[in-house]
Amino acid sequence: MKDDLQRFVQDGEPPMGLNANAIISKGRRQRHVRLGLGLGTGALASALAFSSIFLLLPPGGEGTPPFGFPTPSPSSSGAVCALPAVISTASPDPTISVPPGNTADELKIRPTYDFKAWASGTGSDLSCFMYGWMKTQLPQAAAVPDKPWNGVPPYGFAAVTSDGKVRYESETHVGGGRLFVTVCHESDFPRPADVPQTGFAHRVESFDDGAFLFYAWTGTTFFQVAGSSPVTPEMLLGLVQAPEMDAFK
Amino acid sequence: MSWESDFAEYFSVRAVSLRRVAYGLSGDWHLAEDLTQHTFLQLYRHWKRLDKSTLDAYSRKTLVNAFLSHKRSRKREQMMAEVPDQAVMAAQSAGLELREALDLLPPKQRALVVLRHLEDISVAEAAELLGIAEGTVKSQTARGLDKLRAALRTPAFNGDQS
Repeated sequence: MKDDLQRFVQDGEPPMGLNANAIISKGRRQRHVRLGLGLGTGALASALAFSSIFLLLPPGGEGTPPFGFPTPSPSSSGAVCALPAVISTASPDPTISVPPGNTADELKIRPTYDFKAWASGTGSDLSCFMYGWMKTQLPQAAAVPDKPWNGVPPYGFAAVTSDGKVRYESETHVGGGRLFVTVCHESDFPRPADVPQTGFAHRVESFDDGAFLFYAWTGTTFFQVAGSSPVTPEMLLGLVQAPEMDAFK
Repeated sequence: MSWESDFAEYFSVRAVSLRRVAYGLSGDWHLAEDLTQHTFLQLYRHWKRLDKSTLDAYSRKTLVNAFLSHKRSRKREQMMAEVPDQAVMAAQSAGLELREALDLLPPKQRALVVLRHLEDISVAEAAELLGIAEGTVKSQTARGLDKLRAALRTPAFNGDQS
């Protein structure tokens, strides 16, 4: 039987279409997708179910999506930005295929939300501040949508209510880099034992391809940031320690 | 050496044999490649947390689970009758005969036959991999071989139930 099976799997065997570099590249992309899902697909699914996504768009340029949102007023002081108009309700994108064997529709969840405004408040303040911060840190970088999510505007903030908890999520693509920020109350993401248990604390997990995960605790607010060049963890220290970002103080 | 280098080295050592196992399971080179890719992507994802002494077992398990999951998702589709292509049937080679004989086996039985006889894994390893009792491994493997013999109507598979 062994010989027959060996012949069966070797006779007419086509050349291997896979290689390690391609697998590693794809693995990195999938990791970025997972990191981009923030603290869990459940939270994101809740966000989509509520269709409560607030968007701020950078003015003009390649990255401007065809939604016709009013141009926001970038501010580093938390000023109120222009609110987007109601577009439509959320739905997954049926046009993006999921690799065989994958059970989670991670790739289907994000792409084509249809967007809908939500009330102004903390989320919009955070969005305004982050927009101003991005422009301060990377004035030459252009914000562009990431493929394959061409429908996703380059700058977004979501207020997520799940089990009575609130999270804010923001995604920005800048100059080939990517920044995904999740903000929630520290009690939702307690400090691990190896970081200081009081005051400001942070930790960074770096990957070979330049991507990183940045975690910070302020005492009241927790940040998880999935980022990549040109954004650096050092730059993020300034962002997460800004009083304007301490959403749960 | 970075962990991605270790991963690439493991890929170079195991990719071909895993794809052959995947082909033994599926009888379809395209699907075999998809299953192999899925397996290595899972390995990549969990590489840092994996016990390197159990990489082979982990990769086999991931591959078999992906295959079984694929079969479950295609079950409804497979139950729909298809008109056999008689011209192709008449010209089939021995390899095609074995593939069609393997197609007659339920997915887990097929996995057992392939793993036991192509990958040479032990009864205990097969039981662990599929989450079944060792006695079930022995009985299901024997039944699988019996079905293969009956389908092939050939003495080539004479009593090999090791």
